[in-house]
Amino acid sequence: MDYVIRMSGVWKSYKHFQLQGIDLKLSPGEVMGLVGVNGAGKSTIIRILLGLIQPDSGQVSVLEYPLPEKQIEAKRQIGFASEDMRLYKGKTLAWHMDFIKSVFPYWDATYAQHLLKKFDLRADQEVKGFSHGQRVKAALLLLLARRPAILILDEPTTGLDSVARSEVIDELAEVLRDENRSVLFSSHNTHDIEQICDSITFIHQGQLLASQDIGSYLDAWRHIRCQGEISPDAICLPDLAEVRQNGSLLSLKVNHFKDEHLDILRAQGLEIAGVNPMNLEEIFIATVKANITQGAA
Amino acid sequence: MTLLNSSVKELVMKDCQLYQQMIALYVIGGILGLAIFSMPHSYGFYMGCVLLMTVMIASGFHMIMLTVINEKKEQTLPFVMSLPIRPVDYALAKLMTNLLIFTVPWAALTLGLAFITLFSPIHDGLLPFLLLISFQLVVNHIVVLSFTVITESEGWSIFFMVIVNLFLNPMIMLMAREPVFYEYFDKNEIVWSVEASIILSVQIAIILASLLAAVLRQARRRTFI
Repeated sequence: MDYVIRMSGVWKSYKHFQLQGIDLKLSPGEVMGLVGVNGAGKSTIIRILLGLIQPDSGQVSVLEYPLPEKQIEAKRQIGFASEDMRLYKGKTLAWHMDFIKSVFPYWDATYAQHLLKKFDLRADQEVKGFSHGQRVKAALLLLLARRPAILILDEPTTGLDSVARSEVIDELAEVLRDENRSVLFSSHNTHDIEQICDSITFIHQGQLLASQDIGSYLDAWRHIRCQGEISPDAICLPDLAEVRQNGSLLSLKVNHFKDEHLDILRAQGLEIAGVNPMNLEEIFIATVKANITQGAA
Repeated sequence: MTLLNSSVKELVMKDCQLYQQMIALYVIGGILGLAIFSMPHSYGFYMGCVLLMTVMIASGFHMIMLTVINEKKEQTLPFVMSLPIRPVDYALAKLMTNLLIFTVPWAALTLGLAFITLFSPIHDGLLPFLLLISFQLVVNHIVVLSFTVITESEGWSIFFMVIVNLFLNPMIMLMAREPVFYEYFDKNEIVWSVEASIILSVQIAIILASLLAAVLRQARRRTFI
């Protein structure tokens, strides 16, 4: 199997939103982050991947099961958790574990006990007594102990305070390090994504902007600071995503950076003050802004 | 495509476990109604009847709200949707759960009702009338349940509940005016008339049509959302 997830030319229209020709592929063992602002289309993509939404057009398959036709077969092997998912608050975690065990024959009781200790959860505690962080960990335990082939996590850390988020991400990262499991992790928080993912897909206003491994993003993007008397609109530079001016100081964000970029800027009378790598958040924002600028043009 | 997903049974068990305390409370209410019904005074008969009917109607509707509507309101639906089920499996599970939760206590209470009617000073001739009224509560419950499963809406559910129960009193009055029923109210002779069979047939037809509509509607849905 080349890809565990395959979306090809997927369109879905709503009254005020449209998913536009999404092509997405996830290789076996790949941990992909799906990054976008709220309302970008992340949850719609994920719901289509679970067979919960029928796309208007395009092809979708998970583990080679076409969706939504084979949603039962696909969902048997997908572990899903989302920010808006709640457990039954009047019941204990042990009750939930028994329920999941009754539905999924591959429930690994030993691993579940291991995760209980790792996540510092009490099986005999009612869910209504859990903090938000514990609820997220409980949901992760319930899906991880099923040993699914793919994990699909839709903003699982949203709403958590910074300490709880860090705990959840650290523990999830540790669990994922031990296993060769394909993961699609959506978030608007690039910091979370950076810690556990090895590739990232940027999505904005229903469009897929970019999809590649983290190293390629970090290698390709540079923040160039330069000085000179030139209007930002007059700068001519390939793959220029963003320009900011502060007096005679210019701040440029460039994709597919090469040393030739610096020569081009010098040729336009600019003096290079510094070239710095960018973090994923800066790259994401620059990608979105570049897309908006292109759209406006 | 299998006809019945094995996860449906687990979903039914889940809901029964979730609401077992509530079911027990309603059964206690029903038993109290039977106890009042068996009292050797006419006011006991009327009060017991009203309490029994109230418990049955309230328990049925409350369970529909808890099992179908609350799943959305309490945001446990994403958890259920992530299980290996289709929309029709979910609908079947909800129908089966509510049928089980409602009809088992209903059958027990109706048997109690019949037993008390037969072995107390209450005239045995009332029995066909009481059984048909009791069965109408099942009809009403299934109609509301089916429409709730179809619409998945609290507002529509309340609307159908009000409508079907509005028809209950006129139905009782109309039946009580029929000679085939009222002529036996003060007799110990039990007569199951042709009219009683026709009413029962119509009730069964309404039940089957409601359930079929709910299942067929959900079977046509390929996705949950």
